[in-house]
Amino acid sequence: MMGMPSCREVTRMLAEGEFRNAPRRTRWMVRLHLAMCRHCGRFARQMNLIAQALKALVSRRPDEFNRPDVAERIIARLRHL
Amino acid sequence: MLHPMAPSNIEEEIAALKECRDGAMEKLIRERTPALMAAGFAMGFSRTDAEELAQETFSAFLEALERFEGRSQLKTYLFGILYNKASDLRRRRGREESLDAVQEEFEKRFNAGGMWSKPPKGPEESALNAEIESLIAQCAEGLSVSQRAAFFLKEAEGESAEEICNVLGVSYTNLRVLLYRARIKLRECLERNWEKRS
Repeated sequence: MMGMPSCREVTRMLAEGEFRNAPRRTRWMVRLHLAMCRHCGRFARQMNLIAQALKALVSRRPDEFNRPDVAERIIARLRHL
Repeated sequence: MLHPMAPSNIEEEIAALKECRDGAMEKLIRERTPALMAAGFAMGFSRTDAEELAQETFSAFLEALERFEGRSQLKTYLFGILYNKASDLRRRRGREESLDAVQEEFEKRFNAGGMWSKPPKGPEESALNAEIESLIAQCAEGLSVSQRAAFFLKEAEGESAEEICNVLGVSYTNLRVLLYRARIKLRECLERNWEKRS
């Protein structure tokens, strides 16, 4: 990436989650773009919200999924197979 | 913290299972069920479905025990079986969508020069609140099993990209595309729901 990345390129990089692995110069150009472009700024903040919400969602272990009797039932059924 | 997925010695555990030693199967199931149930939940299944998937996973693993050579981690090996069973179940239910039109829709938001022609709307917030979190959770129901499995392995289990690719049986490039499409889809859905709310 030579010059300033376009909005399409910036959003692709953010949505791929590859921003952190990008070369330093690219990261710097993206930051500069985000500071100047309010649409991409909003997009970037929304990607952040989505990352946080997803992390919370997939890390949840609801009680009904996490009761010890689940394993005992599986053991009992596999013994009968 | 005691992690339920970190038993002391895998080789010993597998040897005990192969020799059908007393209690080996029970130990495996008691130790590994919580993580498999968590994966089932994260992939969007009901408790009953998740329990059935976990059982099928153990059953398939024990039947093909000879084939497990300890090359891959036991944990991701089990997730791999679970993921295949989950994909089958979702397919049987006919809920797995065909190739998304989401990416195409998204491309239309830019002009030929790559600048926004249809700029993003939706929340401006930089911090998550309960309302936005719940909107995103609703949107996540529209993701595929592979997309949800990838997020579970990455965010809840902290697996490396390499292990995630192994479990899902995809290349690194495919994983990137899969995550990209998932995030684009979630954002489009978040924008729609945000604009619709009263």
